[in-house]
Amino acid sequence: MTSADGDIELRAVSKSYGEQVVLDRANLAIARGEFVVVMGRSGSGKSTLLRLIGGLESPDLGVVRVAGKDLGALREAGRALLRRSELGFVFQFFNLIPTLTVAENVELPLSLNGVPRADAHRRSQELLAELGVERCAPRFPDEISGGEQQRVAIARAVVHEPRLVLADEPTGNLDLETAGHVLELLQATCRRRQATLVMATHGREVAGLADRVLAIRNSALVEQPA
Amino acid sequence: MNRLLRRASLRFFLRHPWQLALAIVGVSLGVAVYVGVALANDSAARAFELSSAAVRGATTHRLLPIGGALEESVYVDLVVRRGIPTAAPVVTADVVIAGRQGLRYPLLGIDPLQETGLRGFSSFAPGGSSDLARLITSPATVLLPDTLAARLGVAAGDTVTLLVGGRGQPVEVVGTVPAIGGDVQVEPPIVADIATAQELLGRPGVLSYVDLRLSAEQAGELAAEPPAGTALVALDRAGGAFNELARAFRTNLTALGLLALVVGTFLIYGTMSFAIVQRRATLGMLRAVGVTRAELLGGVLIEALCLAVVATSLGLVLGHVLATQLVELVLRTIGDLYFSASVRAAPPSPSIYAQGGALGLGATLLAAAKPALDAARAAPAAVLRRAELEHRARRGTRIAALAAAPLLAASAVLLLLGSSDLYMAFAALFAVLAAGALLTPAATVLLMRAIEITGRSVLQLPAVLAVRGVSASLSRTGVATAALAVAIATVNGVGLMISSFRASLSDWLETTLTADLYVGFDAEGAALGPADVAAIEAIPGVAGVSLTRSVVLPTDYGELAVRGVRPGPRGWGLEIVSGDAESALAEVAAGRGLVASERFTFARGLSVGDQLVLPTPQGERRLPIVGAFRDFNTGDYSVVMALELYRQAFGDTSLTGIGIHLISDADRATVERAVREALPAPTPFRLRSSETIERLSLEVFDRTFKITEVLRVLAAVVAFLGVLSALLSIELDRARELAVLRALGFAPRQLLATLLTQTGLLGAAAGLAALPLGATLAALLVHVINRRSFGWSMSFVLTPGPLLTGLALAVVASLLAGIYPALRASRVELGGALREE
Amino acid sequence: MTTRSGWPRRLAFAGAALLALAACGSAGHRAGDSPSSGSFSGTRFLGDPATNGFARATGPREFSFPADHGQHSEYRTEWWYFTGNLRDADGRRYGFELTFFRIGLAAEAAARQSAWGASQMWMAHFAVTDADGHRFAAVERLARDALGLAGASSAPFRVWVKDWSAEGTFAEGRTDFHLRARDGGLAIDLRLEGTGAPVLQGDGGLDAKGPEPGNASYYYSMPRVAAKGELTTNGRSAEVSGTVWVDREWSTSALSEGIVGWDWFALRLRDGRDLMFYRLRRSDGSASEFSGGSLVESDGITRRRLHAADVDAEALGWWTSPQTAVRYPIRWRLRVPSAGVDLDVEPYIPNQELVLSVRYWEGAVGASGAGGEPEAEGYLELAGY
Repeated sequence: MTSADGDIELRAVSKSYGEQVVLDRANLAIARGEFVVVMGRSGSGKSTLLRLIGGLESPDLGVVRVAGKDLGALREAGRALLRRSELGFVFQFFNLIPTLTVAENVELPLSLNGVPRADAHRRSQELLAELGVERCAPRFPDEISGGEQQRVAIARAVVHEPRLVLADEPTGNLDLETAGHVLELLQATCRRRQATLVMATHGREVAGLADRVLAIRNSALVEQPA
Repeated sequence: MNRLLRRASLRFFLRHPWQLALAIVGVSLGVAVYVGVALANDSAARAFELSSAAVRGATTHRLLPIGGALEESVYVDLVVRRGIPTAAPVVTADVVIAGRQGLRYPLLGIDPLQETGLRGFSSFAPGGSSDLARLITSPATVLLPDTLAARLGVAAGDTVTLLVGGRGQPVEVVGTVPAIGGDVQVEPPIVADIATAQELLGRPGVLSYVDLRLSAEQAGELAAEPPAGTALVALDRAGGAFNELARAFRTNLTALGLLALVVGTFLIYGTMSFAIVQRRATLGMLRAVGVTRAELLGGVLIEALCLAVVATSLGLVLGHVLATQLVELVLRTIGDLYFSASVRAAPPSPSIYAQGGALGLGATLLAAAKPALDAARAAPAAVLRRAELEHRARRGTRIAALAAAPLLAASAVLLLLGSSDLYMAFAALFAVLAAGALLTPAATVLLMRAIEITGRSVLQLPAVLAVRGVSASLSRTGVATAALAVAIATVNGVGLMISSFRASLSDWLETTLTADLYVGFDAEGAALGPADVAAIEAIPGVAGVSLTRSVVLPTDYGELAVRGVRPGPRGWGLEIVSGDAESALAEVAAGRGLVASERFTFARGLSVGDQLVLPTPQGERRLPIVGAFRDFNTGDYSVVMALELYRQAFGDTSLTGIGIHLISDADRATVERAVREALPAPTPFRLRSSETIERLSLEVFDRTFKITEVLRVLAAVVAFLGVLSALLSIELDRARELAVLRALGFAPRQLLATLLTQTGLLGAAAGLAALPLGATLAALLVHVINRRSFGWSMSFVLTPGPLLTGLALAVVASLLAGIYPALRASRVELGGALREE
Repeated sequence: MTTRSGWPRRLAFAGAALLALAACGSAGHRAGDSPSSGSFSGTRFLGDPATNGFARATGPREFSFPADHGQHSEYRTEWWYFTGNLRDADGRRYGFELTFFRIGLAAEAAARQSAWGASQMWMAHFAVTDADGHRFAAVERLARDALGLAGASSAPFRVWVKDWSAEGTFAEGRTDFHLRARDGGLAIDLRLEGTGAPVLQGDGGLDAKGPEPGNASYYYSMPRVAAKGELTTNGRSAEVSGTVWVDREWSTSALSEGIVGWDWFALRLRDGRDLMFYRLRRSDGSASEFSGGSLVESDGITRRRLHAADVDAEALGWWTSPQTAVRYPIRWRLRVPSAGVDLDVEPYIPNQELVLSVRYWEGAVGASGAGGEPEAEGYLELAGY
């Protein structure tokens, strides 16, 4: 279950915001291609865990390794490089760039990775088609529905074939039916690309799909039965 | 205001101290600039009045010579035969102090005994009667202004050398005189006894004028039967061109102050509206929990008022400080043009503070009112989405652009209606500026679209992001961009006007200075016979000479310089701007008419064909105006006639100037030496080359416009702060978006580059919008304002220099303003920004 | 006199005038001036006699007329002083003062190119008191001694400052004067019928001021000169006649230390005697022992010199100027016990203060005897207040 060269590795990671201790000497290892769900109530620290893994925040203590790299040893520019090549993010509020069209939003990670324009354009179109939102391509994010926006967000998160996709309550802002659909899509897309998927959610229904389910309790990561 | 609302508002500002600071800085700077300029202007005006009042005192009338000189026997006639009690003889001229060439100081020769009840020269003999006795009885003694003495490092008992007509005259300083006035202080003239002044200036036997304090009855009697060759002028009329110029100059400065205020208001609006818009969510929620619209509006306005009070007070203090810096410049400008005075400190002026206060409070409340109304109007809990806001901004942009059209039309109407009214011209100017400001956001959108379309194939996504960011953030940056555009347009416009003016002046000097060397005599004129002139003409290397007699006459049109000219081999040196040049000059040469300076005809509403009535010793003389010539002088209005006509009309054969034309291979130094020797010994004169005159004229010109440079810097600072506040607000607005970009893998430096590109584009857009606006402004300044203010007509030269400077200024100011917000944005703690709302 | 004597009255005027001009042209306008900062500061200017280069009154002088009516420019200061008590046809009482001061600015005149070059200046004061109209007006003229603006000549006699003048015709040892001055609605045109030889004050005209030779002035008076002419006040002219006191004095002296001013009386008694007395005042208000004067008998010739001890002057009433806030003693009891003189001196009107380049009080006065009957008229001068 755990791999020696764990794709994601947390060792004795502590994180607190002021008085509030979120994680206390937490350990975790996730193998490549795994689908891990982090459960917990609001404010339990799920999102913090994701941001620590994504290098968007730094732990107070401990080491976070992603794709074999110690995030703490990297400078911000290095972390940015890692994010653009190896990571994809899906947020609860989609967070598409409002001044870019849907297609451009999806092209953005490719553009950052130096993929030629035409190539990037083709790949984004393909992916949008794969996710069933190809007709949204020329529109701006505020012109499409929430479900569509999240599908575009998924496309943006995986278009550059990252090793790891971090999804923070990706369905939290969607109705039930759409949520299920988006969830399936996300999981399928990641699986197809053998990308590790770490998802924070408070909905139990996702747990059934996951390889592993974790929970944060009393500042510690606890493995739960799937 | 509700206590909780008040607390919420206070906490908001405490949590965003920079925003509070910006709002305060914005308001106070706007107020400061207006108050500073207005105070400086006011001080200069007061100094000007004080200075002329000091020399004028209680004088009601002045007896002036009609042509030629005022014989001193006239004075004896006035006080002994006519028994006029208060009559003071004056001999005055400008002198130069050795070692301080280039600066002229007025030398005022008076009879101290006649000053009682007139000038009240109380401070002129601070050392007591012994000073005064020495001043009267000892030749070559003067009283120096203490400021001048300090600059020269001399004290009572020391000797300084005055240069009169190029000749050094050592004089003993018997005392120093403190500046005149209280809070505004002006440097008094150099004072000498009248006998000393006559001797120093080489004018024994003649006076410059006699100052009188007359009752209406006395004035009537004297005017009815003035001494021969003199005219009595009521002093409020005597200033003529001089007063009008000073007034016009001050009007221009006031306009600059108002301009500063306009830009300042933009700044205030920008910062205030942002402080409110930023809390739209909070305000929406407040509405949701039951706060009424009125309560909300009131709360926001009271908050704005508190802020305005603090910021305006600060602005008043700042303005006062600024004024002390500016007033020197203003005075130097007026001084170069008209008189010498120095102001030590800007005096506090309650009315200007009141104006500044009202403007600060009013503009802040007004700026807060609109966003406050918006916030109050919003449906409860309807958190305005950014997209909605941008949508509105786009609509606002369109409406603003449409509103510009009637403003432009109004401007045109104003210009056409008030054909010579200066205030209408300024109103038109402001209308154009306002229209420009309204058009700027639309122009920015169009420009960005154009960039995107033309760069479609080459622009990388981060660049596209930057370009779109400019248009998308117009709800934040629109006002700042407009303010920047107006500020830069002002800089452009004034810069273009100055370069046009300078080019015209330079051309005019070329045309006017036909001779190579100029010999200048005192205003009283030098008695040179035909033999003296012939001696100069006979000097080897001299191709010919032109002769001039220039005299200032009291006329019905005010003081008027009448010049009798016998042109040299290179002609009259007059550029005829109305009337047919050839025939006009032929008429003048034939003694059948005169040409008048364009300034004079403009100011007095005269035109070619009109008859000019001139007082002569033989009575009034009517002469037709056959043409008008270009004139960039700042002094008296002038007319030119043939020397022969002047001599015949005024019976005065003296000369005030000789222009010496050289053959091409003449040795200047040799000719100069020969000229000096050829001139009869006791005549004081000044010999200058045309190059020197041209250089000095241009130097004065450049000094004159120094103050506009200061205003340029001020405009840039105001614009800079406007952009800074706008960009900081964008940073706040887009924090999440920027964090997402970071999450997607934008390196901080990459993000910084993107943000700075956006900022630079914003500046460039404002700068580009300022180009046509600045050019329009310059055209208005050149063709309308300057003409109406000073009567100067000049050609409008569109040089790229000032425009490019403006563009660079816009981009640089924006980039500088962008650095800090961009740095903040690119380094922001990502976790916080991405935490879900 | 064995000790240092007091200085002649009015000498300080000369310097004071110039100083006042220098100070602000109207020293008197400043209310509350201390006595020493007003007119008397001028003594500093006049001081330092050793270096000023002017001639000194060192010995007896053979007076010669009309030559001595003219100026003596080798001395620093000189004046022609006309004060008179006049009446019009209706019996209205008037007083007038017309004075011409010459003030040397430098002993040596520098060679000047300009005709304005001058080494002395002139000042003239003209004041009229309309006793019944309760009006007083004073004006002045200042001019430098150049271009004929002001000056004095002896044959024919003329002293003038701008348009004001006193001219004289001299015949058979007697001088007739013609006084003319005008300023707006104030004017005088008066002909004076000269008397015989002037009264030489002091010691034969040399009014010694101290033990040092030269510390003295030349001083003569014509106390009782009949006058007739036209006086215009407030724009209204009237034919007037009366008697004028003429004073002439020149010197190069200054007030001694400790003297702050003087009170000068010039009274023509009903019995034909003429009394002149100057009371030099110390800073504490007391009279200096150098005060002095003369009493001329009704024959106009017999003259008795008065010393400080001969005269008892006591201030009875004071008046405070509303314009300058200065307080003047304008009512006096003047007694010369040894000559049977006991007079209550009272001004025509209280306000006869001249606020000109020099500020002082000089006014027409009447005097009554112990029984209250009118005994004398003349002029009172109060300086240094």
